[in-house]
Amino acid sequence: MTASSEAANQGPAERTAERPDQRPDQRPDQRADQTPAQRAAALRLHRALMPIWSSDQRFRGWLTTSNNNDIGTLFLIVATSFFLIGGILAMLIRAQLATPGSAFLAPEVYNQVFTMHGTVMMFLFAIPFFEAMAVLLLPGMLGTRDMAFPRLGAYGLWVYMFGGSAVIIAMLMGLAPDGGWFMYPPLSSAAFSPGIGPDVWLLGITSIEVSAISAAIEVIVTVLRYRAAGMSLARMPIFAWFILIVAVMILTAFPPMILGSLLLEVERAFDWPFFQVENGGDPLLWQHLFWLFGHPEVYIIFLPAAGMIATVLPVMAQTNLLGYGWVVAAAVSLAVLSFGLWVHHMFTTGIPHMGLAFFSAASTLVAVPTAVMIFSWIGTLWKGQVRLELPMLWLLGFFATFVIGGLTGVMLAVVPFNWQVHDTHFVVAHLHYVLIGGYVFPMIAAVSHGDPGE
Amino acid sequence: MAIADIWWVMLIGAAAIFLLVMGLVLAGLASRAAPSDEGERGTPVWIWGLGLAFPMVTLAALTGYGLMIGERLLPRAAPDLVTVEAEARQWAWTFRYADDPALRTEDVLHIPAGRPVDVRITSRDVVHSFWVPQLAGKLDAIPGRVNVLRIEAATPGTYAGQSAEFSGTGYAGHVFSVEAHDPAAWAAFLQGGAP
Ligand SMILES: [Cu+2]
Repeated sequence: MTASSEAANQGPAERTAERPDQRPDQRPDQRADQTPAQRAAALRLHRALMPIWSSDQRFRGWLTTSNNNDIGTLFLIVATSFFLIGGILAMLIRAQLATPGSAFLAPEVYNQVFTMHGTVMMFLFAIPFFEAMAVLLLPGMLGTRDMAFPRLGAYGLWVYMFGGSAVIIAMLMGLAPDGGWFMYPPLSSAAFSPGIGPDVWLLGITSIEVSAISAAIEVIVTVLRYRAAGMSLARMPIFAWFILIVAVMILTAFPPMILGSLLLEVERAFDWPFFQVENGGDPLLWQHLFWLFGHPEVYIIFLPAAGMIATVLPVMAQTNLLGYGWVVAAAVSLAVLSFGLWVHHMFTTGIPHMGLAFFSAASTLVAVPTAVMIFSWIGTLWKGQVRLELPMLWLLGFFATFVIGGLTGVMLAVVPFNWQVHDTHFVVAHLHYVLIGGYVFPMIAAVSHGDPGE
Repeated sequence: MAIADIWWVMLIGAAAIFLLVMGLVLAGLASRAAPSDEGERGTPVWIWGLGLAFPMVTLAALTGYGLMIGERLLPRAAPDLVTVEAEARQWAWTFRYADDPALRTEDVLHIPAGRPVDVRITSRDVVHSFWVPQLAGKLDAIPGRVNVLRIEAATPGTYAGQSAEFSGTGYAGHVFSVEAHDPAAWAAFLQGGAP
């Protein structure tokens, strides 16, 4: 990727201070009128500062580093390992489901495996993986030395590692959560899940959300305050727009989930009434809080990948993106809309009919900004000359798979149809089309585009 | 059934849209000989036409159609309405009958064929879901709440039912069945002479 190689040219383990007293867009561009003497002085300064700002070169450096390239690489490696773990879990699920009534996995084990597959893929892979891409690429794309808060980035990484490994270790000990990745109470309440599984889940997931929120704050400040001189918002590389929008979404969507997790943990630990009917709670409260996070989460995952498509696809087509402003506007409206349709995950819970009609219409509406993006990309293909290289092949896979995912999504928004297919493999298929086609394929395209061997 | 109609309409529509989009992508690949265009001349067609107008029209039609069907499926007041109660627990169903409060069946729901039936669904422990695919969509059994589902079996017979909300280790076997009777058999069932 052009941006990553740019960042790499600054030296892999070098961290240099952004001058905090000057806004980047006010910094005069001195390069053109520098005298040779000035350049020599700048180089001397650079060499003197290198040891100060470099990460520790010893192994210890990997633990203490706060450089965005190191943090991003570590993030990427850890997220990819969790992706592999999630993939192995998926294979166990498929092996069990290959024949009816198979004795391959006992129900207790299978429930842990399918809960962990969803949890690992959603929380331990998808979110951290795009955070890794953002931390790795943003400074290079924006023309700044590092992210705004390098230590916050390091904090996010280690909180994520802690939460992620806690969940995986619990699974290896056979104590994994087994109430589904959506953890609906009362099944996940103390009465029906007395083990520590749900506690581990709540701890791990909350850690990962704290990590995501710290990354979001870093991204917002970096994009808004640390751009190179002369780079207005409207001239940013489009990935920066997508990741900025996603960061704002994370700040809005994750607090309800953290709140829900806290309530559930307090209920489990101290028997406070939030979700248990006997004590005056309501199990639907969890579903609202969970999906108020869970639906925007889908777009939080999709938009960074869309940003990658909008970055890589014009390169493959050897032209510029058609309708940059339209694509940004579509991403913003997708972000806003995504907060108004979480109830489509609850169409079978006995919601009043007026509510059903509203959330059904809102759910179909998200197809409009998505269509704007898709057709802007196809239009880009049309006006350019497409090179059928590896990243482009992955993008073709994205088009085919994601369009099916989108169309099945529109079907699911139609309430009477939803009543039949809700909680069936139709939904499982839909969400895998969306996530594999809309997230995994574009991300592989992005990685293979940035691969120096490519 | 109306929902099956929706499915066929949507499947055909979606397949057509999928082929259209894939055709456009492939055509985009084919235009390799053309010189690259750095301008924004395609905006009216791609953004306004295909990006905005096309989905808006399609979706408005589909949403309208869906709401219309949904309206038709709404429970209406009916003079010959039968009311039953379905209470779920891990991993069984208990059914009670308004026509005879003493009557109670486990895992088999008896209804009269050809008459509308309101099922009052609730749960004793965790969240479950009442689903008889041939008779209606599913509706959740939520502790502390009663959800009412209208079903109607056109002909007598046995209809398979399934709990459709994950509920723990016994979930896979959490099934039940609905027995729809002709008027004579229904009367016999209410007399306690259940077949
Ligand atoms: Cu959703």
